[in-house]
Amino acid sequence: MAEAASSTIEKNNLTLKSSYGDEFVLEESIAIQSVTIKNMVEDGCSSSVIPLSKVDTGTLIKVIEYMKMHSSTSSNEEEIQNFDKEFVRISIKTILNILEAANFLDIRSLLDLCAEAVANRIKNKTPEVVRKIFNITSDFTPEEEAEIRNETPWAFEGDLDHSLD
Amino acid sequence: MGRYGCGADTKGEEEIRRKYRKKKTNLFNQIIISNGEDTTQKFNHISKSISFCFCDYFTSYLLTLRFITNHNFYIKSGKNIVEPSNDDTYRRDVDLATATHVQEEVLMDILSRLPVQSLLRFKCVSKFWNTLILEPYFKMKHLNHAKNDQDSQKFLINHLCPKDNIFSMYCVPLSLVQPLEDVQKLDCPSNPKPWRCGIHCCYNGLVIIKVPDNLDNESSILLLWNPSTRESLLLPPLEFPQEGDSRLEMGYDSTSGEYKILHIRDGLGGCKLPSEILALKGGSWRSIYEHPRGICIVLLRMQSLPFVHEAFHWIAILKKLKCFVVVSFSISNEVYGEIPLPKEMLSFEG
Repeated sequence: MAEAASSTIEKNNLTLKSSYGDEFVLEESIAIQSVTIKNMVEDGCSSSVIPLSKVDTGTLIKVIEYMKMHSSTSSNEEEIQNFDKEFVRISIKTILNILEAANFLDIRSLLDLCAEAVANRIKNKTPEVVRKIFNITSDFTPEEEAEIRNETPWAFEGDLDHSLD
Repeated sequence: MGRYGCGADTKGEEEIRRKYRKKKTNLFNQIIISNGEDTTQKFNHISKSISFCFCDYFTSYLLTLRFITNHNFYIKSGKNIVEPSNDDTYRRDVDLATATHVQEEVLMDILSRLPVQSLLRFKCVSKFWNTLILEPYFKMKHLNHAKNDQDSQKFLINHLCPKDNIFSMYCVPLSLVQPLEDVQKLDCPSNPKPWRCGIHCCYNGLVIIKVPDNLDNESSILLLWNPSTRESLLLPPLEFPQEGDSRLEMGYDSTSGEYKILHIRDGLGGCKLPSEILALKGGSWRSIYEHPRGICIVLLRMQSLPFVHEAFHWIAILKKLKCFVVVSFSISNEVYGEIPLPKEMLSFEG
């Protein structure tokens, strides 16, 4: 996508502002990996600072790190794969925050990477642990929950993962 | 597609029986379950009457899978890979621990990547998760994802144990790097110890199998089985007997939003054998119209009928012209079509 941008656009910089008020200057050719930002640029409403009120500073740093790597012309496919692998070696909750940001900013490849990572990390976990990760309080009565468990008892068997991360 | 006479797919029950009679041991009846198994399960698990939904655009992929079978792969279905948890590798961010009320859209994206078994377990996380997981839209999303996900692909193997002459089903991941433990043994639905069992076809992770009737061991019943959810549905008995070379094939009709099963019979023997169709929501078999130009269906050497654009395809002989033709049969409006062949392929007489 970066390559598709014309050379004049490439020289433009955008300023992204996190929910904490921290500002980050980024080349437009990198930032437009976000479809949301790209649309803003095309609509001409990106001249000043782009406020990202839903994205905190830590998350924004990660997102920018990702966009920079993925628009870099000097890294080969293998380097990017390794980067992606390392990128999601963080807490599940942090990945969830990045996911929300990627969803808001509309960066499909980042969404896929994070959603896949979360799915891999939770797939063997118990429902109890999943509730904690997603900050969910069960609204089932014990009877209702038992009923669901009894429908497919085999889905609750085996070596389940009780860890929070 | 572009190939007829293709397909490996299920060796029909006939063949199994033949081998069985010969007392060959170690018989594998193979089939491919599409990959959608994961997905399917979901749909199904709602099961019983509803929502066998789904997806048609995966078909060409299915065909590919069937080719694979030719090379002696086996079918599978079942659960997915387990991944080692990296508990210690990751540190929790205390800062962010309070955040995360994940949006529905994002949550669906995550859940659609999970194995069926995980989803069945996570139904009890909360009422919202339960509703979401059972949602037809979500099931569709899950199926579509599974179709494009190599890790979701599995073989279903029907194996006759030489010791006790009992058939068992195994679900084997297709990946070459899977640990052996991921091979899953499944009980045959309805009858955990069948002494005969045939896999007829697989589509979107659903399997049609034929097992002995529990009440009358001499006769057989047809089951639509979702190995991923382990649910099964008893199919109504066929109106026409499965004599000669006959096939059961399943496809999804997006117009009516349901799965349909075609029971088609070879016409080479000269006898007139009508074919029949079952719409799962309808509940009974119904014979289909004959081809307007009069055809003789040739199933010989076709192990499965390619299903493309929601139509089955097979080779037939036009009776009057005495030439070959590729016939298509749409399962939604039940209309026949013909695919033209080059001249040199038409004739079957020296």
